[in-house]
Amino acid sequence: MQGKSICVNLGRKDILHDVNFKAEPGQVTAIIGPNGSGKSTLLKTLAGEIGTSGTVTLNGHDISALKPWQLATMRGVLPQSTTVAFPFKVHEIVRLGLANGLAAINDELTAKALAHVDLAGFEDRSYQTLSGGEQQRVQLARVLTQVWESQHTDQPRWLLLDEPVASLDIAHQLAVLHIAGDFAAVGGGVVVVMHDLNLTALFADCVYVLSQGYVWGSGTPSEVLNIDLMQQVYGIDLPISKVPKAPIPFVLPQVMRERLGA
Amino acid sequence: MTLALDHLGAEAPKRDRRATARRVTLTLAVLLGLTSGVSVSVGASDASLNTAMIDLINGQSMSDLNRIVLWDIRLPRLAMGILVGAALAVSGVVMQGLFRNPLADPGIVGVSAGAGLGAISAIILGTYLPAQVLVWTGSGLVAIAAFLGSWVSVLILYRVSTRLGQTSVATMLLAGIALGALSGAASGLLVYMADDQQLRDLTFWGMGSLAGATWGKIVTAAPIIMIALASTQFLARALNGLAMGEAVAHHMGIPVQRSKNIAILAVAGATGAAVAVSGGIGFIGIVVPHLLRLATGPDHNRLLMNSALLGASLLLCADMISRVVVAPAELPIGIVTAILGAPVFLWILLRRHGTMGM
Repeated sequence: MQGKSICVNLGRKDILHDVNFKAEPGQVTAIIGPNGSGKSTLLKTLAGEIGTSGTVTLNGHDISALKPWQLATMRGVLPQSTTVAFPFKVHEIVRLGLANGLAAINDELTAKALAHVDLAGFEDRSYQTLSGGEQQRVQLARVLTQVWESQHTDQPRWLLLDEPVASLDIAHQLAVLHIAGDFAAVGGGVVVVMHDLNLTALFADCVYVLSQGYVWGSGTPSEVLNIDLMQQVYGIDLPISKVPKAPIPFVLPQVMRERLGA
Repeated sequence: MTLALDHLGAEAPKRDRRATARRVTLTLAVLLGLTSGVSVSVGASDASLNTAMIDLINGQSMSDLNRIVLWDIRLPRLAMGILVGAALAVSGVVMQGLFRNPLADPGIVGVSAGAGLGAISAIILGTYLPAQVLVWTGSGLVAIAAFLGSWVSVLILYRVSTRLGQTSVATMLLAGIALGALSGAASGLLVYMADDQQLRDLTFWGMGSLAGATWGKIVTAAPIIMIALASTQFLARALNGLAMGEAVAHHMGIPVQRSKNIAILAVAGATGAAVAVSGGIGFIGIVVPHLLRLATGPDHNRLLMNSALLGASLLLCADMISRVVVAPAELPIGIVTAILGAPVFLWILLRRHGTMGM
């Protein structure tokens, strides 16, 4: 997946300036950056939801030339949060991910997807009565159903996730990112918008740092997560160290408390 | 052991809503058949299909009176009741799916108000039209004007709320309120110009009735309503997807903009034609889809079809009540649907209040 010279302006405001972005199948590519930096806009552009003056290619196809159903067979998108207007049940929401929607009968796939996000047995619950984190996992199950269903073609599938762990507890944060990692490990591509720098360092193969609509850096977590770049982008001095015996950087803001003498 | 039981508990009711929806379709089809039979037999005259059949079997031809009552009054009324009931209920389903709001209704986006303005203009300003036009349109002038009014308001609405090929549902709702207010104000101005006879006509049109049903009106309304209803059957998956928002629907591979265009045209056609031939019949479009969602869930695959069937039956029942309670005179059907529908609507609101935060 590749995005070239992506410029997006919404209303009178330019959100993205000449962003060049590349994600490889088999890898988890994370997009990080402060609030309002354009992360979600970039993801929406990659999903084909927002038009751009640049080009976005997915498996070699210009996405603006693809029909919605063709795009849907190549990539699934998980938004930050999804409200559902009517009292659908959990298994109905997941089945909506199938190409034939609720008319389709593929209980095996939907049950597998729900079990995958640790929601087995939730089939008959009403979506609207679930907690935010549970709803987010149901949506992930729907997106997984969508990309699994079209797995028979030889082109890689893509998962685009917008802050997938924002409303989850620590156990499910790790579980969901493991799902993303497993998806990449078998040849799929994952593009994920993240806020948590430690989880990003743990799971991402490649990181793009966005601020004010520009790409400020990209590379492996250990290349990108350095004190200088984080200072430039977030405007604070973040203490960053590396895990002994492994090149995984970690952020330890607790150190700042000592530094302030508190 | 507990696990296995839990598993069963989750499995067993899973397919229920789909199976229930299929059973409901059958039940509603039978119900519509029964209501139709009763509807043809109920009224100020004791003519019925039954007596007509007995006459036929006995080798007698139908009496002229019976033939007129059945063929010229009750059958067109039955056909119109079915068409209008189905059109209003399905318009409600599509509108609610499009606006992601279970309380949305063609009335909310100004379609009915536009139709009203058209009808009122025809009743009051029609006399100023050249005689030729009046001869050509005949008694259908009000119907044609109401249909044009609803059509034009949908077109304006669409123009206002669509930017760069994207329709914003919020803008459309708000623009609909503004358009409705504008149509209402224009209608109010026109009413000032009306004389006594015109005011009477206006009042009766506004309350809605199937009493004016003629084969002529059915021939104009039926094709539009049939095409609109048939096209909505292709919208089921899109409306299911749109329940999660336009972005998610797009991610799922639904051609969002095209689906919205079809939905808007279908609603304009069905509501416009229905309001044109029957006046302001309210609550069918809100009550019917709600009752069915309670019974079989929000899946549009069956909801559209079931709403058409239940809407038709419900309107026929309301029509029978309107014919019977003050016979040999009749009550405008809009009053009956409001008396039946408004409490159901309030009950739905109260039920929703706790669970949906509305």
